[in-house]
Amino acid sequence: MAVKVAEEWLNICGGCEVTILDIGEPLLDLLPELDFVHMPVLMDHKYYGQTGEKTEMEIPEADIGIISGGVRNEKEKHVTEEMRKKCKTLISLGSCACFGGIPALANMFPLEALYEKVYRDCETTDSADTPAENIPPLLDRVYAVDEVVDVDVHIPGCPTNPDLIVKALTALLEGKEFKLEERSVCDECPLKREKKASGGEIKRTLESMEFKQGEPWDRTRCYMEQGYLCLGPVTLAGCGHKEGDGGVTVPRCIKGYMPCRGCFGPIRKGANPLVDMMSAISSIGLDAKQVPDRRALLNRYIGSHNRLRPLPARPKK
Amino acid sequence: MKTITIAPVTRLEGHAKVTINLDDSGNVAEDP
Repeated sequence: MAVKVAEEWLNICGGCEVTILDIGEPLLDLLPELDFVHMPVLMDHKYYGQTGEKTEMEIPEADIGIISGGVRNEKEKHVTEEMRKKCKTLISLGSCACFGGIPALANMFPLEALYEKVYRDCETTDSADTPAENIPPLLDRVYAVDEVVDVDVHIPGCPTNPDLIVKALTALLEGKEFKLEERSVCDECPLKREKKASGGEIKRTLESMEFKQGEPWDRTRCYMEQGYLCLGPVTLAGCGHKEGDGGVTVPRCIKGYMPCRGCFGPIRKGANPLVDMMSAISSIGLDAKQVPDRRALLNRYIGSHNRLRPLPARPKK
Repeated sequence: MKTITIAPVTRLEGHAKVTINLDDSGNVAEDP
């Protein structure tokens, strides 16, 4: 008998849903095993009946629940709680659901400051009151799903890796546990490391990098040692894709000749990537003080769990 | 006075809700 699946998206872009499609051929093997009972992006199902005539939110019962996106407003909080009630196993899919994701950068500002910025302080739009009718009020900040309800499986990534969705669903179908191994992106990165930077200042990502396309990975110099801010040392591994049979596993951004931006989040619960990254930068002889906007840049995908919050204004000099 | 709520609007990339206000005779009402 097919396993019932309910899927919800909250505060996100939709990229994680595209990743489900991006599974490709293995999805065809999985689909007969899955029976989607609720998934707003793909199928019609209303929360309060077809015309809103019911008073209780209706999400059907399911064996597996998948939530993408963080929890930003009252409606999303309600949907999250309802999903937890109705689903035996709950999966947080993507960095937004796991750690707040990019939208959680807003956690650096109090809600009132955001409203002022968006509705009244934007040069290219006319000022307006903060909307209050017919839309759910925002929560005080962006929450990860596991700050609101218990979550059984975390699959991070922005967007996540299609291979991981297959592995997680396959494990659950077989009644096994799915958990990513506590390894860093550097642990599975094949680039050549010499344990010291090649000299000079920390470079911005768009400054051209030294590499020869098609050259074996172990002859390409580590991006951080070239002076680029690569969050590999403090980021959980799992994004990598194995190149061909017997080939090496290459983290996805590294494969695209871009430094890791940290979307898989901390290597273990409770780790502090900001602090760990500052020491990783210093240990190869780069000057950590040169990293611009450190707090946001090193917490880019993980602003929930109180990692990003408004700071008191600096005293005037 | 009755309100029809269509939520969520599905099969759409994004989130949306439609609220339609009807008057006492069941026609669509202008802004209340």
